[in-house]
Amino acid sequence: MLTLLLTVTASWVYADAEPDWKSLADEYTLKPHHQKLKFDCVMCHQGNDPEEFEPLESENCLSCHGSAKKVADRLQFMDPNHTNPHNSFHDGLSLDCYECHAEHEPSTNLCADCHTTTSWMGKVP
Amino acid sequence: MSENSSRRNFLKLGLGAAAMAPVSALGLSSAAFAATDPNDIQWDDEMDVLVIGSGMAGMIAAIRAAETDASAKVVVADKMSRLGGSSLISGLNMAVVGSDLQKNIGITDDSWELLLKDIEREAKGYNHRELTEVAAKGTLKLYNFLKDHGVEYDMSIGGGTGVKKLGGHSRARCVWPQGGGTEVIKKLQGYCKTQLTNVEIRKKILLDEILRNDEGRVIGVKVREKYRFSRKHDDLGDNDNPELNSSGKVKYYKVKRGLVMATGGYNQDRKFRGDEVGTMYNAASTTQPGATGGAIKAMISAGFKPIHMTLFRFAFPIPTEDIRWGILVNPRTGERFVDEYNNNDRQAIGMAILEERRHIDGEHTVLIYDQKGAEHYHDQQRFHLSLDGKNGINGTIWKFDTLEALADNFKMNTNLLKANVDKYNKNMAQDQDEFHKPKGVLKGASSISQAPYYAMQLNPRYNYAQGGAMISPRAEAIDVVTGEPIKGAFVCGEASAGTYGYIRLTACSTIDCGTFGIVAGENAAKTIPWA
Repeated sequence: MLTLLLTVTASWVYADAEPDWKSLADEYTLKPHHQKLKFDCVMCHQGNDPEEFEPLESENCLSCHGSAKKVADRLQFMDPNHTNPHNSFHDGLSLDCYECHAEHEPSTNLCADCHTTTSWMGKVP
Repeated sequence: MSENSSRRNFLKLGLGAAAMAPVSALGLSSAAFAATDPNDIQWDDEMDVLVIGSGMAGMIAAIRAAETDASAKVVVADKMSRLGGSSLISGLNMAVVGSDLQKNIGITDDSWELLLKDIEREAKGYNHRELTEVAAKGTLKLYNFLKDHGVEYDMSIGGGTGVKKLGGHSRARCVWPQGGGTEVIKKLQGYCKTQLTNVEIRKKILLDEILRNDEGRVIGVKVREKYRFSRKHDDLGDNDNPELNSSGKVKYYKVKRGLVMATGGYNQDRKFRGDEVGTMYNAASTTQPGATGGAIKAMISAGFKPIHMTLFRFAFPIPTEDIRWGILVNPRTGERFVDEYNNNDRQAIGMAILEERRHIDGEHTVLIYDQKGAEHYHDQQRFHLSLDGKNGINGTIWKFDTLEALADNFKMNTNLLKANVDKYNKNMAQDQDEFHKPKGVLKGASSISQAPYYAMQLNPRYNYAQGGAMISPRAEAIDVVTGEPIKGAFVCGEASAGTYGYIRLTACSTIDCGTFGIVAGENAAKTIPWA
C-alpha cells in the first residue's frame, strides 16, 4: 500500500509563526487524484518551512508510485508500437516524472513537442 | 614583435608546453575575458576532463578522454534532465568513405577528397578547409569506433545493402545506425557504465561561467546543480536568463586538464537566432528544446571567438530535391512566389517561404503536386510516411481527387488557384516560367494537371546552427583577441564552427561531431594539468 514520506514535525520545534497552510494550499493547488487523498504539503515536501520547499525529484514520486517499471507496466498495451510514454522508443524507463508531470501547474506532453499525438494520447495528468 | 612570434611558436609546439607568461607581461592588448585567480575560489569539486553536453559529440569526447588515460577523472555534465541532446532524437545518418558496406556494393573509387569536394560545394567558400579535412578524412575511423562501442548499422537501408546515395553526395556512402541516434546514445552510455570506471555522467548541471586565469588558461567553471529547464516558455532561450529561471545551486568545479564544450546549437532560442536573421524569430525547430544560446554566450563571455553566427540550415520534412515537382502557393492569393527548384538551395526556398508567411499573418504556404509529381519523387518511402501522417509536425501530405477539394481544404479560392496553375502550366510548356524554374529538371512532371493531387503545408525548420566557437584542427577553442588556441579549452560538434559553411551537406553533422569528439577527448586528456 502507499507509504508516505515522513515529514511531520511538531510545531514547537520552530519558534517562528506557523505558516499559513490554508493559503498555500489555495495557491499551490493539487491535481484531482492527489486532492482526493487529502494530502498536506508536508506529505511530499521535506521539512516544515515552505520557504525551503524544493521541486520534487523522481524518487520522491516513486516512494508512492513504486518504480519506473511499475508505472510503465500500467500502459503496457502501448509497448508494441513503442509509444508508451513511460517506456518510449527514445527514453525507455529513464525519463524523470517532471519532464511531463507537474503538480501545481498544468502538465505538459514531451512527446507532443515533436510528434502529433492527438490520435494516441489524451490529456497528461 | 619578437616576443609575439616566440609566443606563437611556443603555442604551436602543441599541448603540454610549459606555462606561458601572463598576457599583461607581454604588453599585448587587453584580454577578452575577466581573469580569475584560482586561490579566490572555493572549489566544490574537481575533475581532469569536464565535458559539457551529453549528445554524440560529448559522449565520444568523454569516452576517448577516458580511454586515452585510464587515470583521468572524466565528468560529463548536461543541463537537461533528459540526456542525449539533439542526438537522442535524430536519425544520425552519416557519410562514410570506404566502409565495408560500400565495398560490398562494388564502390572502390570513393575518397575523402571526393567527400571534401561534395561538402565544399555546399559550403560555398565559408568553411575553413583544414577543419573540413579533419571531418572528411576521419569517417571510416568514426564508423569503426562506433561499431567497436556497440553501435550496429541498419541493413534495411538501400534495398538491403545498408548504404545509400543521398542528395549532394557523389557516391553511395551514407549509412544509418540501427535505431538512429537513440541507439547510438544508449550504446555509448552503456559502454561508459560497463567498460569505463572513470566516466561519470551528471544531469541538471547548468554551465554559468567558464573561468580562465590571468594566463588565459581555462581553470574551471561556475555551474548550477539541480537546474530545472522549463519547456513552458514561448522562447526557450528564456531559460538562460537567471531572472526568468533561477533554479539550481551555484558550485565551482576545478577542471585540471581540459574543458570540452559539446553543447550543440542554439536553434530553439528565438531571440538569439532572430537577432542574427530577422525572419528566424518565428521559424520552427525540431532540435531538442535545450538548444538555446546559454552555452555560446558563456563561451563568448570567456573570450572564445564566435564565427558563422548568421548561417543556419533549414530542414524540410521532405527531401529538398523533391520540392521541385510541385508549386508553392500563397493560400490567400493562389499565387506562386518562388522557383521551387532554386538549384536545390533549401536556404533560399526556406527563406522565401518564411518571408511570404510574414505577409499573411504567419499562415502556411501550400506545396501542391499532381500525380505525375508524386511518381517522380526520389524518396518514395518518405512520401508514403507523409501520406500516412507519420512524418512529424507539418510533415503530412494530403491527397485530393480534384483541385477544388484541395483548394477547399486549405481555404483557398478555387478560381484563383486554377488561374495560377494554368499560368504555370502554360509558361512551363515554353520553358518561360516567371520565376525561371528550368523545365529541364522536371522531366515528365512539368505541369500540374493529372489527378489525384497532393498537398502539404511546407515549412522550414531551423535544425542546424553552423555558427559557434571557432576551433583549430585539434579542436582547441580560439581566443577572440589573440587569435591563438585557448589552453585547456576544446569545442566539438554543432557547438563549434568552421567545418561547414553556407549549407551543411546532409549526413555530415555526425562526422563533425564524431571526428572532432575523438580529437577533443584525446587532446583534453593529454593536456598537462595546471593543478
